Amino acid sequence: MRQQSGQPPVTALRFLRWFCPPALYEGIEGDLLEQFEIDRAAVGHRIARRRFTWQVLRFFRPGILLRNKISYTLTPASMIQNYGKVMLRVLWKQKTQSAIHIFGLTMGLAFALMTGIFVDQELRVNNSLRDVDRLYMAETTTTDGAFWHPFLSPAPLAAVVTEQYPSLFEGYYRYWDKMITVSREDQHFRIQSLIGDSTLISFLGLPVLHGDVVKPFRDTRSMVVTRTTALRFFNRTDVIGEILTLSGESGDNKRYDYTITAVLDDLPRNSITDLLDMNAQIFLCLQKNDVYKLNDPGKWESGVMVSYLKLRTGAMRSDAERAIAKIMQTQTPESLRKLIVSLNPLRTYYLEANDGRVRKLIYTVSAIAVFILVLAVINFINITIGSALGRLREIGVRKAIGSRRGQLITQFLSESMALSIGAFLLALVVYMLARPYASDVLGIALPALGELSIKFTGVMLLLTLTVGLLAGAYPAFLLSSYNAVESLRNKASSLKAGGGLSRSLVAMQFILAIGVFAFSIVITRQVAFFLQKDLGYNKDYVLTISSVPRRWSEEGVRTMEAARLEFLALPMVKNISLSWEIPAGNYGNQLQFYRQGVEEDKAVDMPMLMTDEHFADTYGIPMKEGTFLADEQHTWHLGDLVVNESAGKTLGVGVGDKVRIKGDTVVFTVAGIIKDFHFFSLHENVKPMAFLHTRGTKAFRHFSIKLEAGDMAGAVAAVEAKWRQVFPDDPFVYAFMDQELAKLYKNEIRLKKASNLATGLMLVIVFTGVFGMVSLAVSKRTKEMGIRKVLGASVDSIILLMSKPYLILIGLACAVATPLAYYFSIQWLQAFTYRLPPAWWCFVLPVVAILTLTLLLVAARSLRTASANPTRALRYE
Amino acid sequence: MSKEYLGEFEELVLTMVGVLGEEAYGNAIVTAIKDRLDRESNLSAVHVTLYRLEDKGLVKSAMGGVTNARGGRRKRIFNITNAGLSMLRTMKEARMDLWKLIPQLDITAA
Repeated sequence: MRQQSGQPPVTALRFLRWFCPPALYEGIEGDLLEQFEIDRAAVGHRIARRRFTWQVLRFFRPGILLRNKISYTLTPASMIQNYGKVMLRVLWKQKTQSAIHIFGLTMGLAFALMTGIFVDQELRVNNSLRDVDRLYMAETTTTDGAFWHPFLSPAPLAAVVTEQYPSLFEGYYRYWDKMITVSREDQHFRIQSLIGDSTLISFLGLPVLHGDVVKPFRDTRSMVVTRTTALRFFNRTDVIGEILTLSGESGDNKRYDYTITAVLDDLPRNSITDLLDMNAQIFLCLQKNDVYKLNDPGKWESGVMVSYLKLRTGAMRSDAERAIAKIMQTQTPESLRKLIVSLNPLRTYYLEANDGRVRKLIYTVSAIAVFILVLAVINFINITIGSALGRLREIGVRKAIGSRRGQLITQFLSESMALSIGAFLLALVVYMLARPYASDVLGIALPALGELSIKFTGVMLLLTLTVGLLAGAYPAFLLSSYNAVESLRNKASSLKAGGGLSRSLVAMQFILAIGVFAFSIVITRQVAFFLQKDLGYNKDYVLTISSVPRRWSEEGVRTMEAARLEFLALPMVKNISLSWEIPAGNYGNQLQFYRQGVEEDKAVDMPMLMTDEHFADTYGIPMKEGTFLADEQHTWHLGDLVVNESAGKTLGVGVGDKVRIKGDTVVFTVAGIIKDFHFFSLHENVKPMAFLHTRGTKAFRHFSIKLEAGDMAGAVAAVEAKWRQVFPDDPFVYAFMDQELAKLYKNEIRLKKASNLATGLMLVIVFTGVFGMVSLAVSKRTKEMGIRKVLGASVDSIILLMSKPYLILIGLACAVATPLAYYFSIQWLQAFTYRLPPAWWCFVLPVVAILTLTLLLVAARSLRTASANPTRALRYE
Repeated sequence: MSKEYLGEFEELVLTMVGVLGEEAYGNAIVTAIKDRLDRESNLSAVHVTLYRLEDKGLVKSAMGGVTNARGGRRKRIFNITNAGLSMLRTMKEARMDLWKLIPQLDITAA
């Protein structure tokens, strides 16, 4: 009847069928076809087809479409309601198991959330700087391998290279950092400052709250402060034109008034103002400074600065480095030619600095977070597989009344998704409660829940759904695959498929738990080693005061020596030393020393520490030979010098030998050789070092006070009271030496805390998981136990039988985990020059602990059933 | 009944369902509106209106018998219900009441 050409457009019809509610479809299609036939007769085939399509499109309207929705949702609504009801019933029926997997997921997600925030914050360091992709730090190494702080480069370099190669470089910022005592009326604080180029704000794009953005450094006494500083002194942020008094370093205790010209918002973490965690809060201008004794940054002899350079858009880093190398080779004095200055991109500087320590920390912590999530997911899968028996009948019924496999899969998946979203909500609560503690562990301020960015929450939600999908996928596909008849008959044989997987997943849990446990022991031991190792000096009961007024003159030194005697008179004080350095890695000067008579070229770079003669006694560092600068027999002379053992060896000098500094005419006499001690962190070897007397250098920063063991708080209070009396215009800023040392190992301590916490969490998750599985096994094998008992099995043999599978699993896990943990521990320890090689028990202890706990758990869970009257077991359902 | 309100097009379609009796289905209504009132109406609009009237209980529908003409598709035949009839009557009366008021005004005005 129909002709090939007489057909209405197929696409239009298909479209209509797609959107049209089935109930209405026939009537509408019929009307359309009728009209089409009329049209075809009246206006011809082509126009009729076009009209038909147009008519179909006009049916695509709310009045039709919405009817669709109503008619569709009616059936699933009750179905979904049923899914929800069944899910809650199952959860309720197996309270222990449900609690276990919700708890595991909650902990895993909470840990992942914190780790995620930590990683996110670490990755965002430096990102807020203007044009961060074109910003570079000038990093210096030496051709002869001599030690050099990489972040210091020759002072004029950045300016010279920018001036000579304007096509490559757009600008630069350099600074010297300084701790300055800042006062207003009777408020005194020691504040970290940067004295740098006037380009500060425009170059780095720092956020300005008030004041002059373009030219903040108008005259010699202008200063820029951060919001924190403003609030500290004035309790408000709009403090433009206000005056703060800064201490100088001239030795006459003179103070200088500075006018605030701009207030910066609190600075996001970055590797410029926050390099080496100094977190600078006030900014002065280098070029207009007449207060601080700074070298002229335009002269090559002036020493070194921290320098940052910005490349022009499109300029190549390699070209820029070549330009720098050219200047370093042709325009610098001879002594600087051995330096190689390269450009380190600021985008990645924070992560990659110190051999990528932060990046490694991020990797390790993320891996641990993933492990914990994996453990939680495994619990979920295992318990679902284990309790599948109870749900087989439900599946059978659903299948029998016409449920398709896809629907069952959807049901199980949405169940696990709903659970993981629930767990996520709980994790948010846990996060809220654990925030203060976690902030401490990770060493960053974790934001409150409300402050989390939408993007971050989205990512976390996505992770949650992924976890739900992973956790639910296997059970969903497994359970839905059972034959309806077998499921209804509740045949246990059909469940065998899940057993093998379940066991291998538990094995994996054991592997991860044992591995992380062992690794965490290694880390803990190494950190303890750092903090307890004999450093060559005694750090106990040493109080360091860093706010010593910088009166750097002969008279200033005399004042300090007088003050020293006043403190020494306090009953709790054993000894006290005035010095520039304390043994926590930071030193002031690096000079090149050589033995007189040796060629100048053979000079060795070494840190030159400035201390008084009490330094060795205060820190309990023994002498190898001679005197430490001065004692009763030996009075100090200007040319006296002390070196450490390494320096003695390197320079080939003994007591009485003459030593010179390259480029200087002064001849020093070695007055003593001090035993080597760890001035730097234990990441590094002991370096050659030299000591000069503060009386000669007329520069100092610290008092180190050795206290008697006993009431520390009382002693500190006494010292502070004395301080107020001696230095009324200077704040009392102090720390104990072990606190200063702990700063050196900040990352390691963070990792230690995180890994210990993770180990605890993992053990809890694993054991709750094992507990859940044992409970299931016991309830499934109750009858079997009864029969065994009737036939004469003892309680012991039954418990052994129940624990056998776990013994095998732990054995396997041990065989896999131990070598892995050993390998990663060795890798991690590589980064430290001084390390504690992992002992055998580091790897045995986790295995033994896990084995014991598992056995206890199995025994405890099966004992009741095993020791009960077998008749009861046999009557068990 | 007074709570219910019918739009102009709804009233027109409802009336047409009453007029056409056993032959009231989508296309027929469009054609009838065209023939009797010389007014173009769209098939989809008529359908949507019919379903809405059905929701309100003013018409009811059933599938008609098979024919050859429509590619074998059955027609959805609409029938006016008692509620529909009384609705039409109420509306007509209300309008007549109002209408009666207009000539008086016209007379005084003229």
